[in-house]
Amino acid sequence: MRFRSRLAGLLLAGFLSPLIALASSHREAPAISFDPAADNTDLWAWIKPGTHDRLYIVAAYNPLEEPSGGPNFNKFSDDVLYEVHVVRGVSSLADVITYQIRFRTEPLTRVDVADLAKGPGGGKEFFAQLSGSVGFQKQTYTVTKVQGNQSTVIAQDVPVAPPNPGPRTFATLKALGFVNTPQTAYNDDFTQEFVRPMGNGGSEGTVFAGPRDDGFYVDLGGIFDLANLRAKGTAQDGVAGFNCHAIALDIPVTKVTADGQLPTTRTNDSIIGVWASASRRKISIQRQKGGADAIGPWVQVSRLGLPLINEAVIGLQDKDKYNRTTPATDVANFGAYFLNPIVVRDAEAVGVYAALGVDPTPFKSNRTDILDIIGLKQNGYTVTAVGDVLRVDLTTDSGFPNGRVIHGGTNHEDDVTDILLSVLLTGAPSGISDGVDHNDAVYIDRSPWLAKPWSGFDQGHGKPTP
Amino acid sequence: MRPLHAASMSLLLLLGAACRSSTSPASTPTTSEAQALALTPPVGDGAVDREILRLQEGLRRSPTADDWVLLGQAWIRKGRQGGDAGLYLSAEGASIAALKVRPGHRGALALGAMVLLNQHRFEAAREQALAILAQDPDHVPALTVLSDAALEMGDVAAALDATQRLVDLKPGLASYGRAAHLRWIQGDVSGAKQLYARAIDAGRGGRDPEPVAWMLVQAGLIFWNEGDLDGALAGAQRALALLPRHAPALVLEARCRLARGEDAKALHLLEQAEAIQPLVETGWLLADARRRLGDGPGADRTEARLLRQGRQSDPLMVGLYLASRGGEAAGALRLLEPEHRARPGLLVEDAYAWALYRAGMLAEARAAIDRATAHGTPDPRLLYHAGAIRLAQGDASAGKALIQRALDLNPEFDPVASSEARALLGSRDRRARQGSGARASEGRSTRSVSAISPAGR
Repeated sequence: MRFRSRLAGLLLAGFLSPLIALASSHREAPAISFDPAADNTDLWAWIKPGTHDRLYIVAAYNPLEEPSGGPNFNKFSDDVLYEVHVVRGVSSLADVITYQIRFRTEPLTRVDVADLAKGPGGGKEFFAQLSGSVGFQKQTYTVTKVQGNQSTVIAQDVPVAPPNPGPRTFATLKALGFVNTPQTAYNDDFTQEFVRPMGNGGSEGTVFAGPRDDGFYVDLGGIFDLANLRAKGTAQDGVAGFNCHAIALDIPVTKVTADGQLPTTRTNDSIIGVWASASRRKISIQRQKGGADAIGPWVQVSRLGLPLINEAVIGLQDKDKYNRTTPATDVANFGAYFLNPIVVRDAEAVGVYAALGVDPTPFKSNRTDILDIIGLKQNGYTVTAVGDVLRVDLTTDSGFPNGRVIHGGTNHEDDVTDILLSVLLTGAPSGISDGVDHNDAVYIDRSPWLAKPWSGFDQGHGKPTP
Repeated sequence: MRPLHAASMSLLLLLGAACRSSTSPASTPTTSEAQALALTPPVGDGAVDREILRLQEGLRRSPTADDWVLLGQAWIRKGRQGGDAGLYLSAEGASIAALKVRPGHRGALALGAMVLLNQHRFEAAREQALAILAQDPDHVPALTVLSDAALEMGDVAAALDATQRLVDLKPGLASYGRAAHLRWIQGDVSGAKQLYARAIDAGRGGRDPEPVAWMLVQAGLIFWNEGDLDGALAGAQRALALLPRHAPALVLEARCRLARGEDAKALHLLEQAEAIQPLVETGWLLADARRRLGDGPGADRTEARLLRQGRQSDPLMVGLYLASRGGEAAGALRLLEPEHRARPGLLVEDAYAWALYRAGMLAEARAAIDRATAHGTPDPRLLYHAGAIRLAQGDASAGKALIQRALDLNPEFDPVASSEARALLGSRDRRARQGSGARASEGRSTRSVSAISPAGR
């Protein structure tokens, strides 16, 4: 009754003609918006094959950055706390080490527009790459290592690698003296100028932060059309040609073990877990009496451990809660999603199981096998603290779900989409594929591992016009 | 003419069905009717339109509650870009369709509450938000609806509580933006600016630029209200760089141009804005700009259309317009009294006060403007109204001080009212003694200063 009588009411009130002519003003701020700078898109963590003495972590933010997205190219946010969390042992999800990364952008300087004697630079510029002290506004960052009650700054005023608008920008910034490099293009050696030591003489490893190729590959169109998977050849890499913003850490494994030694045998403590997050400040809305504006503590707004959990496991109604909580409470909060994966029911509804001739019943509920797999039971661990962290066995070469590896020098990472879809839908680590099995760029063989950012000039998603 | 959203056409079809079945117990639309509204093809080819099409395609193959909700949210985002009210019917259809798949789906209920809000059914929106929050006290979308509905209904304390909870749970564009507005309402201009900066940062780089563009305009309005035209213009132009057809930014830039006497430029901007999103306030400024450019007949036509078509869709702004420009106090009150009963927020209290003042009901006007200004909001229009009402009540020193403060904040806060305010400061005392002023019967003689004093007492 309500709906139809309202329709009638609208018409009787002459509402339909104003539909065309005069809208009703709405003064509400948007309720729905996205926060790319504080959006974890991917996380890789693995140990160096063979020697097992380095822990590599790559945390990516800012999904699907368009390379040609000027004039204001994407960047890390100065208002966001970026964190990489390391937990240790089979029975704890508490951070043993947290790497906190905070960014700072130099302010624009005001320049008299009418003063023709002024050279390039400053706030008068339209092109962002001419507006700051390194061409771009210089953005630097600090890495603080939090261990127990102790916070130590292990890297300070580290420059963020610049965006890659194209060859003319690179050449111009060099010619104008904004960029001091022997390189003639935005290449892998240029990238290395932004890989900097952490701790005295690099005792804590190295760090890099800046734009890179988004190293994930997946048929986004297929997966999000309700797992409408396509064969290799017809499947489309929905991430191809996009950039992201990455923080890459290269850490001596001895820095994350309890005794400071490399583990040689499997113990309850030779397994770690890694997750990454982004937080923004809580603020007080009531005016503070007499005092400065209260800027409150950090509130986590995004996190990521295992790939695709937020995207393909947690339901819409719980995504906000997922993003503001920590892995330690995952079982209590979201256990039902892991034990009864929605994607199985969706796949059944669209006929995936019927086409395979498989009975989906065993995969719909009580999926403790999923918890076993992400807890590395297959590696001999009995994890009692279950949560969305990327587990890494420090005693053996990594390979998803034991860590997640970027295979430098190739166009392969662990194909986490195929593995996770297979595990969720069939309980086995393989058998289902999204038809996209390699990246569109070749990963580099050292930090930051992800390939250089696509160039805005000739590698954006625009198309030539006739 | 702008292409009309097809869901608006569906209204007619549905109404036909409703009439046919009027003898049988009709209820909410059937699932297929709701789905048809939600699955209406979008008019346009922006990012939101592509997202709508993609979700619609998936939903045709297999409907999930989550995807219906995402589709509804996309319709609401499209609605914000200036389409017609039918877009919100599509969002409502998606909410109903989601609830059929999964009864009690909180995201779908919150979507329904957002639709109610956009239809200006604030009490119903508030109730629906509270019902969701009874189930899940941390439901972020429900808190945004509660905050907005409470503010519209004049319950600033409840809006503060809901928004504080919102920002505690999810600091981001939606919560910082609301917090900024509430700071400004409370008179904290620098706090509001800082929070708008945070809101803008939290939306930067999003695929849908509208939320950031909106925040840039809101931040620009803070500068506008304190007379910083450069700051206001920068906000508008940054918003337009992100979203060239962002109507609120076009209107803000037009305000700045009018304030600088660049009337032709303003006219062009307002014509663009009205073609995108024909709001009453846009038409109002358009009429002002045309009149200033000597196009009296054009201004009259715009004004007539605004009055004819705006009464149902935006009685608040038409009421304020009538009180401010038309001199039709009785007509303004007729429109504003129901508004005041339904949503006595700051804007409505202000418009209501001004209509009461025009009708010569000074005590009632004073009570309303006191409620509107109770939080110390630094809005020149509010202050001007508050001052004029006090002046009419015989409190010359307080009245003049308020009017002076309005003009100190922004000497050109309104193309007409700011000169009215200056005139009041210069010559008000004599007329107050005479006790004469505007009459409803004076009709369009609103350009004269005499029009701005209340009917005699």
